[in-house]
Amino acid sequence: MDCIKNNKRGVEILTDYCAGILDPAVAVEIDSHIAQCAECLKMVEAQRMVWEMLDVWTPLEVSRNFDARLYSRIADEQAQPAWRQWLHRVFVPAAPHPLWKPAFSLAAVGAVVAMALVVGIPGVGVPGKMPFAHTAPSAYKNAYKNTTVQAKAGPEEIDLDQVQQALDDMELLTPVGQSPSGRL
Amino acid sequence: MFRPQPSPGASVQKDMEAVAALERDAQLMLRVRQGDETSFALLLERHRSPVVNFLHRMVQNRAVSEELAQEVFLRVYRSRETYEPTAKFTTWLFRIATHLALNWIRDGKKEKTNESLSEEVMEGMERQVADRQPSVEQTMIYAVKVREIRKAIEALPEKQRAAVLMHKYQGLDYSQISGALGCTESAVKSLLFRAYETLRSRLAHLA
Repeated sequence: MDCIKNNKRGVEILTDYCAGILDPAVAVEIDSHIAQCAECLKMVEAQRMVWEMLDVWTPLEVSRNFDARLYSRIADEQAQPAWRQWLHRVFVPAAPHPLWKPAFSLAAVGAVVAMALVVGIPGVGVPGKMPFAHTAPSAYKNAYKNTTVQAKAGPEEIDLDQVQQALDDMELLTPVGQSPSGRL
Repeated sequence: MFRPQPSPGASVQKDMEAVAALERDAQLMLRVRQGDETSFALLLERHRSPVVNFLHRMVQNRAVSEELAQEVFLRVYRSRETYEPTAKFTTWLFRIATHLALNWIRDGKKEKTNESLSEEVMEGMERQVADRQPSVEQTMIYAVKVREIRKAIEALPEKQRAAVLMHKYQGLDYSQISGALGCTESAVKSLLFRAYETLRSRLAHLA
């Protein structure tokens, strides 16, 4: 048998062995192994020491009037109106629902998808290209067309004639024998 | 070697008894759902002491632990109509108890309470040496040990503390502890490993 510390399930084996709940066949293997391995024996003894030490803390006696107090509280609660009992059940659940973590993850995913949809609204993206054009309803297509036209007419649109004119002006300003790029 | 190993037959019998007990709890709770108050009394009788003692070791205050245990059983009773035996009853019960204890600790209420150990130490001492009158020396040694153990457990992070207490004192298995703590079994093993490692170093001087 491998040393406890080298075993993938070493921790589990060690705690179960000292708790006396390990499979008897495996426990016998451990017995024979620790008889030869000083390091594993040390680990087992240390865990065993903790286990026995914790036994010193003995359980307490429960108060004699525990049940009476509990039944009194139950009676008080049952005397409340039905709507209050219902509110208690709904808003004070016995334990946190085990599905709250997946629900939180789903809510986060939903929020991301919602954000993606908001950012992906047509008109905000590249003009002229309409996402989902083949599936969009006609009213939506018309609205999209209008926004594209407005974008074209806007000040951000690049006029190729103006660009050409600017380049020609630059060339005129350049000293003779030197190209606009600075090369001879 | 270190302890007597249980025979395979004894182990199987123990497992069967455990299964029977689990089924009995679920059956009792289903009867409570149908309005059988006696079944609730039986459940209370079976789990009162384990729940109170688990909470006492978590919050280390007798009055508070009983108050929280009352809340646990009140919630069990309140949930009787919606109870479904999807998980083991003990897992569900300790999930409620752990949730309440962790909330109480996180609310910082612990700082407001200061419990005297003397009464508890005497009670525990009487159990340890029930057959004879403990000497002053024995009582003092016992008191020191209990105090050190309590301090060591109290110093553990909340989840490690809950995992160790359920594992050591309540005898819950890894899947039950993971159900009660709402984490995976491997996370429970990791919590237990770290907790026992810390306890080993903190209690070594008492050995």
